[in-house]
Amino acid sequence: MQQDPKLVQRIKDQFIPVVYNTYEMFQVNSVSNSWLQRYGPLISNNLAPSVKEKTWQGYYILGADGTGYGYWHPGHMGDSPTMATGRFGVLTGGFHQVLDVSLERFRTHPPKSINTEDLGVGQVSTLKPDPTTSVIRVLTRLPCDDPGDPFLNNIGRDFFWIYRSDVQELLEAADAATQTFDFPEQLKARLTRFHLRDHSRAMRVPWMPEHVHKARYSVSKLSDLNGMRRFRFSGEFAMSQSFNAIWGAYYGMSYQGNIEGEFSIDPVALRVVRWRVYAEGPCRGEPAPHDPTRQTDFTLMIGMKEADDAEAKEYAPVGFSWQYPHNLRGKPYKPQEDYRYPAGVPKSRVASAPTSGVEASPSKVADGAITSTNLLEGVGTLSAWQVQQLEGGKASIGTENDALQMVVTAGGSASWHVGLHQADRSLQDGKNYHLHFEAKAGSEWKMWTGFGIQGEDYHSAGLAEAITVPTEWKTFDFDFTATGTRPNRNAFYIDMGGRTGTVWVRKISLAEAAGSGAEKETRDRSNVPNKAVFDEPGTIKKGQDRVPAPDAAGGNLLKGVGTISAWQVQQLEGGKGSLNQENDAIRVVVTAGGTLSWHVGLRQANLNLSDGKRYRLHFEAKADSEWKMAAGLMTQDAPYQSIGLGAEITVPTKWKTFECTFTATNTHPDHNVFFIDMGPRTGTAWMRNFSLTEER
Amino acid sequence: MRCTGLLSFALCLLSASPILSQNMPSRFFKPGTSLETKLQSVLPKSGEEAYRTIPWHYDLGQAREEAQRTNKPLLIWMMDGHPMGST
Repeated sequence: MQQDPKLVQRIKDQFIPVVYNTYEMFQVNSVSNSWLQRYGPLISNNLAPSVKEKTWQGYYILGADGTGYGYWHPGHMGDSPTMATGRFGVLTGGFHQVLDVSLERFRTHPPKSINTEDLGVGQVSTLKPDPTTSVIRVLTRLPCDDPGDPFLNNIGRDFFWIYRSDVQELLEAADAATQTFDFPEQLKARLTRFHLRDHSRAMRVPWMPEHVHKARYSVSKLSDLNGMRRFRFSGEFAMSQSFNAIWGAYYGMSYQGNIEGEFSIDPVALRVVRWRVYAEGPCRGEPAPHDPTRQTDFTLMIGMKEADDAEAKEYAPVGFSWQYPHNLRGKPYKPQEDYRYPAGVPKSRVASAPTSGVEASPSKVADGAITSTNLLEGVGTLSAWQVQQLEGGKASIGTENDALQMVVTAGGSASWHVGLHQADRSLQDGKNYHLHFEAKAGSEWKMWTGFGIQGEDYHSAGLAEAITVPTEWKTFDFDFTATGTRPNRNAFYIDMGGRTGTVWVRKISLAEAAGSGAEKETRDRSNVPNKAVFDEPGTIKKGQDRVPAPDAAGGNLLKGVGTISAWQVQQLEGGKGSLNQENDAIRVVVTAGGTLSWHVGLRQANLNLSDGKRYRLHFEAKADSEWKMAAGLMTQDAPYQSIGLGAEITVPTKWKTFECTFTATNTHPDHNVFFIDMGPRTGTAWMRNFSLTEER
Repeated sequence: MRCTGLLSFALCLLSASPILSQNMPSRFFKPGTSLETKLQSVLPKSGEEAYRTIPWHYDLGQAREEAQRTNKPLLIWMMDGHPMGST
């Protein structure tokens, strides 16, 4: 798609152009990111009040002081037939009008003067590749019959990162092979899951592991040339999905085909110096009622070529960004499925020993509260802990009073590049555990904590949580059910990379929780359809015909549960629904489902929950036909985080009770919302006997 | 089927086969077509990357300083996934 040269020139002449990734805005702590978080929604809300779904995406015209002059997003402003792109190639005349109006506003209401000394100039606000990483540019095309379709003819782009460790593994595999060999697992999975995707239609959400049905590659060695190791490969792939946990939506997508390529490696620098790849095959899009082009079958072409330009050194693959939960609007995506790619779960759980100069200080650190059953060993001794230092991350561990002290002097570029680890933990699938610790930091710090297996494929063992560690001691408690464990090869981690600073952690304990073993058998697994979807802090129990709501009369945090005026219907992106009273139940009729689960749903907002407290949620539901929904609680303000419970549920045609307990986390005072997401399908559902009570 | 644009040199040479086989033929290229030719058909053509000639800032602090100094508004292009990586 040709891009408007007049628009390009206009931007050069009349504006200071800036590019930003919404994910990085939340992931990377910087003055600029904080500034944008403050002004972004203000501007889009004020300047585009008709836009029902507030999105961070779009084009903002701002003064240096934050004054908003204009906002435009093609999908939401009716200028594009699609919802999913603000790409340069689809900008239309409407965008010029927004620029005109914005400039006029700028002239009549100029920004205030700002102090330029505190703008955070030079602070890293983006997720850059490590200098040792080889960057490949990925391009996609969907040749189609309609040359005027700006979306389908738009070239799709991405970056593919190949790590030094991938190159090392590949050379080792080559040296061990007598003939052909397969790609190393990390490289193979990253290539398949993240980069054989349809970027032309903005279908960029990574394939989940279970979506990959075939990924067969055959690599053969060519003769060396000028000291470079050369290879050729071909392969077949086939991926399909009906549900994607990251989106929390039922999308039919598939891509299958053949791939071929040639590449060269510098065996000394362990870098890919040449990478030429072509893939092709039929690609089915997602069904979007308002956007019929996307559900069509096309032949998708993907090309890949090494990149060493300024952009390649500056920007991250889109799949990298997809991992962060703030994108999920509170939906309970867990990165445990996010194997073999840099997010949430480190590439290696076999961390280094504490750095030299830091001696163990037995008995200085208090053990966890449940010392008699603590499954973490020697929490009071430094030697029991490992410091993960990857991709340039550097940290040291020591003690201060009763706490472990981690001093991160180089954060690497992602959370898992530095972390506090304890390896070789014994967890068992299906058993429930309770993790407890307290932490504080020199300044507020977003981290990840959980358990992951050691070794391929480094998936989660059932807990992977984003946490925000404040400057004062805060208690973190997590209940989770272990899954995908390996005997004595599971590691506890608190990942704190991506930035520098000091963190203190104390009273760390892992205990087996009640409900393990025999009780496990009573759990209705039909309500635990996908561990990537199910939010482990809460577990929906086996349904029964009728169970009274616990203590519904007293302490119910849900207000007026028997009256429809107490409830709201969320209707976004074309979703339509209505509420009626029917006997003792609320009847929800969904006449248009939107395209994602949260486009239609039942809501009750302004709930007051507190971090660390345990709650019990109870309700009953039935539907005119079996219906997969999502239920839980989340913050009602950006970034719309889960506050401890989010689960996919299957509502049958007969009344079924859903009940769970969870520990609240990341709550906002009086700004939490209970939701039952019902999109993207239509139908009628009945719900009754709601209660949300604190467990005492 | 109407053949258009970037792949006109190769499009329609082979009819589409919806069934994937081990050696599924390319829809666009004759057997024996070089890898480089196939790759070139996907790479951006002139005019498709005009946006890259814009001096985009990724340091917002620096951009705000420049906006004040030059008395221009900021135009911030913000997307889920970096605009320069996934446009």
